[in-house]
Amino acid sequence: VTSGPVISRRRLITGGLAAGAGLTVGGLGGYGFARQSQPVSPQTVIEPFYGVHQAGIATAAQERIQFAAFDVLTSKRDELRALLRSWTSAAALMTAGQPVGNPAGDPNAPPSDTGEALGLGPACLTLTFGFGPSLFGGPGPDRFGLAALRPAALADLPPFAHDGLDPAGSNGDLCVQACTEDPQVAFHAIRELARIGRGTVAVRWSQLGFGRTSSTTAAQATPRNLQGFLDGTNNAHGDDELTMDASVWVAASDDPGWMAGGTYLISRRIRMRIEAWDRASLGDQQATIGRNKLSGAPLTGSAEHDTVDLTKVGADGKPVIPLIAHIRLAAPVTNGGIRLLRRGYSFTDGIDNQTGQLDGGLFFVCFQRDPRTGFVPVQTCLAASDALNEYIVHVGSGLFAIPPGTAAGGYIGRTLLG
Amino acid sequence: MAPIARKLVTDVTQLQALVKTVDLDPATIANGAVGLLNEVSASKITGTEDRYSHTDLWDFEANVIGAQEAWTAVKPLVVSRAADLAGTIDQGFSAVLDALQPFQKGDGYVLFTALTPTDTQTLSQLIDALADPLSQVAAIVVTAQ
Repeated sequence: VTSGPVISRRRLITGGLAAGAGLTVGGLGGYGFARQSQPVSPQTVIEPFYGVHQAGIATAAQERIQFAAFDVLTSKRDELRALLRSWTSAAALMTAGQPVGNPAGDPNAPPSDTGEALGLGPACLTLTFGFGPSLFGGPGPDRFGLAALRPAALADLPPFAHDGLDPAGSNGDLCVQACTEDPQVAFHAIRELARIGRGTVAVRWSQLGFGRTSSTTAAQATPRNLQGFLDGTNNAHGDDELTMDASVWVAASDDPGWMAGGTYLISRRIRMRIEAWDRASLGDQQATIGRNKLSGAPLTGSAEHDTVDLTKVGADGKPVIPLIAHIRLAAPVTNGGIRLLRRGYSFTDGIDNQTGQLDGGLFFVCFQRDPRTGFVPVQTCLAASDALNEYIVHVGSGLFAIPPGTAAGGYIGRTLLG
Repeated sequence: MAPIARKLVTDVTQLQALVKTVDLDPATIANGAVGLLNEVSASKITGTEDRYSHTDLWDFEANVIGAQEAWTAVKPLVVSRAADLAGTIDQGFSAVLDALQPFQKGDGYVLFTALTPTDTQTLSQLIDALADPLSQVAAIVVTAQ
């Protein structure tokens, strides 16, 4: 069978990157190299699937996401384990740019790969799997006998001020985050996993994102979000191992042991009130964020990466960065030094049927070692007084334990399910 | 409930007195008008502000009338500098208030739950069509000072 991944391997080899590294060009160093050297398109780059940690967290943020949350339909632990084994095998193939089956085999049977990613290459695909509170019994019955293994850090999120959450677009037993440089590769990955799991799981909600809104390595340029501002300037970086170990990865000494090397994901579908934002004056927009719109500099500086000076007072006697400016309230110094690894994406889903306004915004995704000392206190602070609340509303929410990665032969979730 | 009601009256009376002491400049007034329309857009035309009483259209009208009052206060500064814009804004207020007419009932309005998505879309888009030109006013009245 001639298919895309073969072509991408050839390109890798002609690009001179495959020697010595096999086909798994990528990883933190390799990926940065691939991005900076013109002859190799990101479309041909493979992000390694196997490892101590799952990929798609410390990985330099790709341009596209498709995220899906699933309800588990079975209550048999064996079937859940078998599903995760199948998903792991499929993920290893797809992240290597290979089909999960034969796209053109027996004419009398449905193809065992749906085919739409053929020829597109691995495109830096990462697949990251997680477990929601409801898998551990959550508010419902303990279907899989996992209640005793539920991490304390996987505590249900409290309600936040101004939340406008849609239950149908929130939570879930399982999640899969597919990040890639090619939207069709992301779609294919989620579609295949849903197909493989049909009858065992059902897609509860899904979100497509079209542009990264965070830089997650020091080498990446800071992108703009849909409000036109540089977003994520002071983000934690995946290649900063000290910060990752302190703030993102669950340590072997943390409870429970099965989460060692894992992390916790929180997603928030943040709808922007785009029409209202578009008629806010430039001065109001900048005061709301606390940064200059064009340069991204804090209002107390002149360049993007200038230190944010929260103490500086202007000629009018007021703080230059207003007391309710977004960057003041979100700053680690305001929140006891908390660092989150943000990995969000812009989204748009057409128009809101009720208002005729654009349905778009930020699909916020963040990773941390413990949400109770990570996202929860930061969001409590933001929800209470952030000036940005006039222009945004949180309409979807997800909380998932991301187990550690796996070596070849194992499967994601083995540390939990045995 | 009586103590709460009495407190409400006291607070409103105090608010009325305090508001009169605030020194407002024309740009703040103009932006205030936009802010009132943004509120309509964010919470009244979605039925979320009065999610139990469903009296959102009463608040909708009050905000539009409030925005119109603010506009009337700064309009003389605009007419001489941007007559077309002033005309567009006047028409925008008329269009919104005209579109509310069919929903009047007795001395008030029908409940929000009686509105179809087409109704709310029409009203919402008329608010946006009015608030956008209104957001141009602050920059004009600042240079007029």
